Amino acid sequence: MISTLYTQRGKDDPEAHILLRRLRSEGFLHLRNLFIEKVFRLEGINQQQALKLTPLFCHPITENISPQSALRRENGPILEVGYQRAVTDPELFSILRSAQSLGVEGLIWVRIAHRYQFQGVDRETAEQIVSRYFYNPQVQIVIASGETWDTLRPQGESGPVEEIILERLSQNELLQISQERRLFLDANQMTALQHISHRMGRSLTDAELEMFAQTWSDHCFHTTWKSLGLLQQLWDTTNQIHHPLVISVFEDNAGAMTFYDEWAITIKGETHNSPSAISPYGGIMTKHGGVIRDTLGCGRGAWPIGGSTIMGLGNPQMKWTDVPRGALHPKTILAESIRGTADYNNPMGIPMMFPVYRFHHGYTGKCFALGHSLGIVPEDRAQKGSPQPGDFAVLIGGLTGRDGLHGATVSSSSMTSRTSTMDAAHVQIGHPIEERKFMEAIPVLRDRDCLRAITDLGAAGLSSAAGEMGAKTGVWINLAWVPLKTEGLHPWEIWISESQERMLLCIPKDKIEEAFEILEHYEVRGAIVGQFTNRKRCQVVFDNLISNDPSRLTDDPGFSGEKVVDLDFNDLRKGCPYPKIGIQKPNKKDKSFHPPPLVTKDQWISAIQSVLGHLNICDQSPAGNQFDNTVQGMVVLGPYGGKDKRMPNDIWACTPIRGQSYGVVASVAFNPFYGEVDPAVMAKLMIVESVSNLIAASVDQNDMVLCDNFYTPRVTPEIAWMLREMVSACCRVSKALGIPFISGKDSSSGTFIGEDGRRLDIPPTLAVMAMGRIPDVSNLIPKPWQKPGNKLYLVGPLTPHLGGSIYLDTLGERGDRLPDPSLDDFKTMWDRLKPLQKDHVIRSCSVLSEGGLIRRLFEMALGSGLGCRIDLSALVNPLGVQQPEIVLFAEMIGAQIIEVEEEACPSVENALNGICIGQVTEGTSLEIKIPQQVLCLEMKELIAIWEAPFRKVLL
Amino acid sequence: MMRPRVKVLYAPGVNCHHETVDAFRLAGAEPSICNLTSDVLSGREKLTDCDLLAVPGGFAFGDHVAAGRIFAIDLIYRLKDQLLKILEKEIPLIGICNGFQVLINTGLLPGTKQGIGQPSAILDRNASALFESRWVTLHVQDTHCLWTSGLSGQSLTLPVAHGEGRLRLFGPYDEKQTVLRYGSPDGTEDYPQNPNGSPGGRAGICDPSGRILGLMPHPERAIYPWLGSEDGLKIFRAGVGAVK
Repeated sequence: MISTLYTQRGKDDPEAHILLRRLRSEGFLHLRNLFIEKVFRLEGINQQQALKLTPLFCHPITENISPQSALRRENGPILEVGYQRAVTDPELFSILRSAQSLGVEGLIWVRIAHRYQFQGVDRETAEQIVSRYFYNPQVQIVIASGETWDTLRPQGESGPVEEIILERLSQNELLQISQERRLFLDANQMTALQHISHRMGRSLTDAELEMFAQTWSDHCFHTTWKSLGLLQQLWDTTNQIHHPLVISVFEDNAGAMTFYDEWAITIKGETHNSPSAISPYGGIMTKHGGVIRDTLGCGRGAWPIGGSTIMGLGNPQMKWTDVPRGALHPKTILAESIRGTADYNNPMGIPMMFPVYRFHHGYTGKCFALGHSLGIVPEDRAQKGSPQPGDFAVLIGGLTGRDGLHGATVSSSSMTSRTSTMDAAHVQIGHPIEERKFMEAIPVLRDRDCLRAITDLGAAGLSSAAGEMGAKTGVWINLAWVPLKTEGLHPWEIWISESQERMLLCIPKDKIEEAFEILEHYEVRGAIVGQFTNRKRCQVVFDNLISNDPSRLTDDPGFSGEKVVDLDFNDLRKGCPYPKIGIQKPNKKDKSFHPPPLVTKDQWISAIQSVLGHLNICDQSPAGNQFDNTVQGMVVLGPYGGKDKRMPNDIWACTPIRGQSYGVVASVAFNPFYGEVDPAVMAKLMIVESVSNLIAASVDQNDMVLCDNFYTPRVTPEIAWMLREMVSACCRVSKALGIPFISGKDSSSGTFIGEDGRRLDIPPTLAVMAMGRIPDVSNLIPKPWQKPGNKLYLVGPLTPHLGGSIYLDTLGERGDRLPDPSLDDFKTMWDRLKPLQKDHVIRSCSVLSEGGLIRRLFEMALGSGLGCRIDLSALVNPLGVQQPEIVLFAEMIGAQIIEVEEEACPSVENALNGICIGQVTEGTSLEIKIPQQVLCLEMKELIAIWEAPFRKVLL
Repeated sequence: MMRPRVKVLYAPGVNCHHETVDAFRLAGAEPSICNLTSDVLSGREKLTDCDLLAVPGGFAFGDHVAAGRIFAIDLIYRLKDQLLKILEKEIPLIGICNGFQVLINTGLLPGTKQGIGQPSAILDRNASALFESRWVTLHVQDTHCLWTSGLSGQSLTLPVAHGEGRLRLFGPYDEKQTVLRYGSPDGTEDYPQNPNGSPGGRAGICDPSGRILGLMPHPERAIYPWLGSEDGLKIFRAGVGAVK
């Protein structure tokens, strides 16, 4: 018995208004109106009982409910979208709970669908809209009108384990298998598998083959990086620095450093580029979900305290006709990624640290989608324990389905115009409520010693998590015990599914009862799915005849039911042949460019306006303010600060231990233009920028660590050369400064291949985050100016080059020379800065970055409500530049603008060799003396120019 | 003197309970987290075993069906007797953000007709159609709401963070129930001073008794000097003070 109810909001439906506005802005101008109706299909109860659920489904004043649809066919095409028959609705369990509360007995299953009625467009357009915006073909369907249902429960049929014979196949035949199964294994790797199969004297199962493909993918195994020796190089550098605060480096889900009072803080950055390029909303949600789980799975479970979203996108103003087939318009990716971040991060209750959007045409085919997660954990639980034979493997969180199959392998390949249809399965859907539930439970499990180890399920799902956790001892898993949301999954699909919001716990036998009590308290689903063994093998069965009651499990589970996987960990972890990658220095193209000098006032003003209104550095708060940046009640400096909270902050700071004023600080640097000019110097500058921001705020140089995220095009000999240069630069700078990388990730899939076979590479990309600690956040030096009359100095190595600058970009140029300041000069300056910071001589401070001096002057004025009087000639002569505008626009990364009281000037001049550039004024304008004349820039006008561009793009 | 006992109600998806507990502790109370399912529905604890009750912010039950709805259905249909007891025992109640949405869904607010299970208002999608995370200035109205006792006429600086905060009232409502307004003493509807387009700039309202307060801003996020504002603490102090 299935009953149906329909609800509508009527004329004032805000949801419909939003969608209508969005669709019209996407070019569907004929669309006059849109109506939305929700359909609830209820199994096991009659219509009369169904109507008892009215208080749940319908607000008595703003909504209508009835057993018939209120949409009239003649008013326009109607399309209904729901989850596929094999998939469980995420809201099912909440509805079943409420039905019970409402005293409705007998309800066994619910399906929710949305009916959309379109006015003003034909059915074909309506279908196009629905398929493009309203549903995810991976898990949803358009429900045919008049479709009748026998049952709502998920339907589907599974299949047996398949054997794949590799013996005696030619290389071509091997490659064919790789291609047909979308394994993305190359000829060498397939041949290696053939040898393994031969040695074992049997064919491989489908699950084994899939597991090898996932484990050996670039995404999981970092084959490109390992074969170039780059990972080792970073590790070695960090080991050589031997930093006293560092607790764990690279091998765990996140890196950890000592905080205060026996706490440790953790850092991780993770990219999710491929799925975000195809299906940005889902892709971005899982980006955040994944990196947050890295924090939860760090040590024996850390608590997330901050997150970021760092995006590199193509030009959002490009013509629709210029978008390569198979790629989405950058504007669509931007809008959808903002929505994804809001819909995942806000429910998670983790403050947004850095919402950063940068634009470069190279990201048109494949975007850069990075998310960070910081966490806090008791120091004595910041490291994992080792699973012991007999310990239980417990899977917690969301149900397992077909979503995200082949995520790891697809992420490792370049994207083509066909990827979006062929490999759509690798995009998962996020349900933050599941993750939020176990975020609450994990610290409790941890502190009650229930967790020997914990890790998240990300790429390659259970196969990777169980494989990693069990590699030292051995692991045995029964896939029949994995709770499913989709019927009809093959064992191999369960094994490598990338369904989100799942974690794997290693729980000692004597703690299993307590652990399940805690899980139940927090309403977290948990199931024993296997045990750790002492057999050093990865063993997987599918046996639904045995029970996972812990009291009945022995320490020595054997093979029963279907044998799915039986592999030696050595073959999995060490058997992968590295690709041989040639290395060749690329020919440098001469892109040198000298901008024509600015002569008239109008030229100057227009140049300044173009820089401040540049998309990369303009006001991005229309995105940033959509993300909760004050939750957890401990954020000291969020994305925006100063007067009216409009000024972008250079650093983020929080006090994660309640009532304590010691803090965690962080800063991030990412610049796609520099990578295009000189990847190695870019790498150096990213470290200098992120570190300088913290140092300028008075964080001690010895109190910080780094996290790297590399994203580069598919490897060629030239790309390999460049990668090596970037990593070497990172190691050199990290070592010279004594600040170690403790976490990081690389992705070598930044290439899009268009329908015409043309290759579109992303610019070499590196984002660096510096994370540190400070004994008292009250001592952080503010960015906004403090007092009119105070003097402004520019201090630090001053290298006035325009290469890669925002200014050159506004002229359509890139230049060929980046500023390359001396590290020794920085170290000297930082040492001399310390006593001045300690004595509160420095009243405010900001570090130059993209946009140069003018951007920071503008922001400091914005944050204080004050103005300034600046004389550029103070800089022109000492720096020896020919054109005065260079000092205004040159991105002298790491140089600081500092504000001091007049009487402190001599000490600043003596200690720091600072150049006095002017002073803070009462006014509301920036007065800038360009050598021959004075520009008077009204803040009100500058603000309008700075606020407009991003807002316009989002409309 | 005894520290008043506060129950901070937790359900899956609630995500502001830790800082709400901290705020009550700082205000001189003895708060504890009370789990809707495993403590209250199980019968182990009663909502009335406390001096103050708080429904904190977050996304209870993932905002499934509608924000605050699943939580409210549990309260109305399984804990109605305890809700009535709260009213009878005059236990002050505060609902913050999603907690406010829950109280609106139960009908406890605006509560003019005491109609538990008969909501007469809605916290609708923000006028901007976006989630709004910002700092706002709030003007405390002259009311008898005990959560703002002694604060009338003051302006408070607090953060908001919500997608659905536009308060639309349909039933009988006394303007004296409006406790907090955005932007100016008379309230503004200008964006972004009023982040959600709430008519009359209404940010927080109380029931006719003045004991039940619902508000969209997050006072628990402004309780230490280094957080940019300590104004939030005033609300917790007033509530705790009222039952001391």
